[in-house]
Amino acid sequence: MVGYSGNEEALAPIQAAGAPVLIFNPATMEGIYSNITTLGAVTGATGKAAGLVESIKAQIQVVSDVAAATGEMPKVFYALDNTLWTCGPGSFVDEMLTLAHCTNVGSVEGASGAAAQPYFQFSPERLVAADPDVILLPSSSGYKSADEFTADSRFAGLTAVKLGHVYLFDDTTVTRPGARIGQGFKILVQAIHPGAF
Amino acid sequence: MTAAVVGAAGLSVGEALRAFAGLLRHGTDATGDYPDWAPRLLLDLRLPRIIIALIAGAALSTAGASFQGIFRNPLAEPYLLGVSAGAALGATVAIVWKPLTSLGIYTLPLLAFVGATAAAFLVYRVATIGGQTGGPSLLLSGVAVGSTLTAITSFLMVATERDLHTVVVWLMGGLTTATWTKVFITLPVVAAGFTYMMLMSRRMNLLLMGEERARELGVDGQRTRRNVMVVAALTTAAAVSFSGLIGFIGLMVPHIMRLLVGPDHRRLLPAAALFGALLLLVADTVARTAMAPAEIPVGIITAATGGPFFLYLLRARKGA
Repeated sequence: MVGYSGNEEALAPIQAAGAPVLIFNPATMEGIYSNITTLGAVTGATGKAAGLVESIKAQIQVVSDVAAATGEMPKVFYALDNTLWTCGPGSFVDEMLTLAHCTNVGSVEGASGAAAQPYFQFSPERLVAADPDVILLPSSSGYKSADEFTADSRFAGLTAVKLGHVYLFDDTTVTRPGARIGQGFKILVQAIHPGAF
Repeated sequence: MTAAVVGAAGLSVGEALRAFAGLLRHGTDATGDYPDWAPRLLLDLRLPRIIIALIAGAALSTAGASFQGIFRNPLAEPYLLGVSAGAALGATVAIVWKPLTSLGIYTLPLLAFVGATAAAFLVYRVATIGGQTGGPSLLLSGVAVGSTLTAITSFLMVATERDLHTVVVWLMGGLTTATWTKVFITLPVVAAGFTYMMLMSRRMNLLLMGEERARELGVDGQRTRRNVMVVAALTTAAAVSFSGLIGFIGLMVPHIMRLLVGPDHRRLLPAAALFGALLLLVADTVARTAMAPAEIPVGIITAATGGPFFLYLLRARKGA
């Protein structure tokens, strides 16, 4: 029995009924790897699981090296919604952005202030002051197109907006912590370092 | 003025003042002893946000004062007629029903406004029996319609779990997305509403003395109440549709002002407008600076500081 949930209480009756319960809710790269390993162990596919983990790690490494080779650390803002909720230190997205060799605006700004939280609503004024080079809009943010962001008069002066570096992408593949994270990571890095590939 | 030079952007007060001076002389391209983005930030982000805070604060406070006056009920508030529940449902529909979002960024405020006014109309119709609209039946139908709409909103939130976050953020209320366009849309509605309530202030005073006395003095209580109510609901809807549900201001500010300037609506309404505007501005300034770069939903601040302050005022008056 496998459950993807944060509500352990709801699973207690199932466990009491004699079914073993495993909860998968990874929030880090390491978490993804250990979940795959665990799944391999309980399904009797230990070897396959280890192979998958190795191949994901290799994919991440290759792409991360390409990003590092650019020698650039663009400032990136990751918008969780159209009121500027973002991913700060300790979030999965922050970990991905760090691997992608860029500066997560939500994390850098957060670390200096009182807002060193994984998820918080970012000040629009700070966004203007931070002037990100790239703006990432996951599809779950509610933005239908990059134009919707660039049309906001408040952000017309941002470097990312002026250079057209505002990207909308499908976050079910890009940032969902699962076996496809290698492919997702590559899409992310392509947006952050456009010239790298 | 203070609010204009204090902010989350890491701009010093001096820089902000110099950037303002540059802005006045040369527009947003002004350069000087401050970051290049400063004039634009002040003009496009900080000023509209300050003005929206003032407008919304004034709108909620005067609507609250009027509702309390015409129904002679201290618990009446701007959300009395189901305006908040209607606005919430409208906003939620705008968020979860994807085909609608293609209509652009004004879908949400528009639907919130439609929801708010439709709810107010519905509550009023339900409460009107045989041409008469009683205070108690209005309060009760407001509660009933409100909880029905809230149930639908909750269902939509559960049914479309992916958008839960967006809906919750809107419900908590906030002014983070203020722009000049929003100022230009809200200001005329709220200004017209305020003017109308001021014109009716003498009649509202007479209504305070009771329906019978008012009638003797030539005031049609039923009509006055209906008209003021419609206008107050529209004013509230205009404020709410852009700033989400900001609590406390509309209930407490009129009471605080009544304690300070008395129940005469001719003085109470402007006093409530002024104090409500300033209170929301102060609260929003705290909201955008206290935990910078994180924002705090402004409704939390208005309720957390306003509640205790109001209790203090009540106790102090009783002791005097």
